[in-house]
Amino acid sequence: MKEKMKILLNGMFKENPVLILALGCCSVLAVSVSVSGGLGMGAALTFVLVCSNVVISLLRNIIPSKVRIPCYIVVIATFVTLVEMLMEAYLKSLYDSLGVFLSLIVVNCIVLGRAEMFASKRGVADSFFDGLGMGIGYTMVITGMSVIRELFGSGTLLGYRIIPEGYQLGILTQAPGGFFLFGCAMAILVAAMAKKGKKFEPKMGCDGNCAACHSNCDDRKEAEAK
Amino acid sequence: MKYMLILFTLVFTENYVLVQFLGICPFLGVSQKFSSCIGMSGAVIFVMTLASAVTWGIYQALMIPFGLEFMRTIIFILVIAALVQLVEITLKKFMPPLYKALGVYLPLITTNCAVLAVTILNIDKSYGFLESCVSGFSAGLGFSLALILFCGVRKSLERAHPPKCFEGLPISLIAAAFTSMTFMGFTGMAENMFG
Amino acid sequence: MSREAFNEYIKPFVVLVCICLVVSFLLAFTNSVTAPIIAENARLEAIRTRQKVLPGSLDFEEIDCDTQALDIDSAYRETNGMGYVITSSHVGYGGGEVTVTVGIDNDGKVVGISADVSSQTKGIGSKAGESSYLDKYMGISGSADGVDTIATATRSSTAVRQSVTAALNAFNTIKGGN
Repeated sequence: MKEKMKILLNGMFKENPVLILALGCCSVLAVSVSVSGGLGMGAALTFVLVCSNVVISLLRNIIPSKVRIPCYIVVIATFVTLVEMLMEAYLKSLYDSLGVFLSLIVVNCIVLGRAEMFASKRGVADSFFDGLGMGIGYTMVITGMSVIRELFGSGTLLGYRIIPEGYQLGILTQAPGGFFLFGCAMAILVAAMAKKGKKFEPKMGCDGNCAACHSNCDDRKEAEAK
Repeated sequence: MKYMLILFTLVFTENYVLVQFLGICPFLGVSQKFSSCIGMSGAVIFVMTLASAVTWGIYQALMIPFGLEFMRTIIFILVIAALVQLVEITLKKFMPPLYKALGVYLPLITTNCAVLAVTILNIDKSYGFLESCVSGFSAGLGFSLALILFCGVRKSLERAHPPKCFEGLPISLIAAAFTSMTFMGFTGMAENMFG
Repeated sequence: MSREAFNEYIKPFVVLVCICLVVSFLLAFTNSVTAPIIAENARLEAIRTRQKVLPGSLDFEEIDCDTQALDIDSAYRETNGMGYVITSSHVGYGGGEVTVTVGIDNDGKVVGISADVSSQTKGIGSKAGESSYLDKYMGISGSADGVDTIATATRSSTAVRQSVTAALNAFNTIKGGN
């Protein structure tokens, strides 16, 4: 159980997919203009990540390595489509606010990256906790950013007005505000790590190259470990 | 005029990278060297135009008649993946110089969310065939413009000395914020030019 | 056939096809469950919009008319004869459509209007869907030429005006036919 806890916390903090590995930042930047959107996106991604991790882990001995990437993409796309259909039927307003970014979970580097790096090698339970941890880590970052952007950008939280009209920084809800806030969040993290005596240099996970991730990251990590 | 408007909109006012946050990963990952920017740009423009045309055809000819609209996401991503493979093989066989220039960047495109996004948005906006192709081409062009511009910004960043904690990716993101702010200046221009 | 050849060529193919088949059935099943709910939601939403633009109205019946020639999407008559609700769409900025629903009373006066501008640029074109602009159409009749477009959102607001004009013209045609 202790080991499972470690896997869970690893995704949430030590290897936070968004802030530390800088993966899947498109949706984080785009959807974090409102808290409801951020929470919805986080929940959708966590669901897809957990389900695809479990299924791929179950099938890991059946899928031949030659066609594994297409298989992973099919599995992931299935769960994304499931989420899309269910959300359109039961949570229409959230579905409208997430727009195309809901479909784009398919090409979110986090999901494919975890399938390739973790689920294809580990047991079902481990994969489940890894997916859950990574999903929660993603949700924490996107929700945190959306709280700041909605509160100071639109003056509301979950649609309720907190700051009176006329005192907002409208730019925060626009594209530049997203980039700026994300850069600052990363810098704060680096500063905090430096204070603790840990050196940390944020880099694009695999140079922003998800497709080559499977060949690169793993080998590199193994080499570093040795 | 309609096509000019789509072109201008997608390159400037609704730029995929800097305004709509699509394709951020390659934007931040590849923009360090000018030569790789050019290669990536060429590959993206090519694949986006082709993918827009092919997915439009498949959607209209196969998915609508058989009522398979709900399989859109899954079919489009597989089509894009297959298309990228096909382009790679064709270029390797028949156009080695072009393959040499674009080859390494082609596999990265499958998971570039801008490509999947353009095919889905074409359907959402109910574009016709030519409109889809133009929109794919313009979105690619907008991506390239952002990438090449930002490459120049990054070159200057190398000589800058930000506070220790901002070094590397954080300062690049802040620079991206300012680059994106300049693109906000184009808003409204398209309307007056082509309205 | 040797075992290696099977593992090399046949197995990957079979596995991929099997996964695709299972996935298709799963999605088709979910779709059969959710599709009616989505359709029902859209229908209720349309009714709500119609009730909103024609205050006090309850039930509607669709009018059978040549929507293509009238340049509208649909026309409805309130069952108690309170007035008409006409929906029309026109292309706004960047190729996206603006859908406008107009409530018209029996005298041909606009009593309510609602516009879906979700395809337009947020903060700019979307101004054409805000009540501060739409309210300018309230009370007009015959023609929408008296209402100006928004200078910074010309295309989006022109699409709104075109739709209102089409709705008013359609009203005259339908009313004249009775």
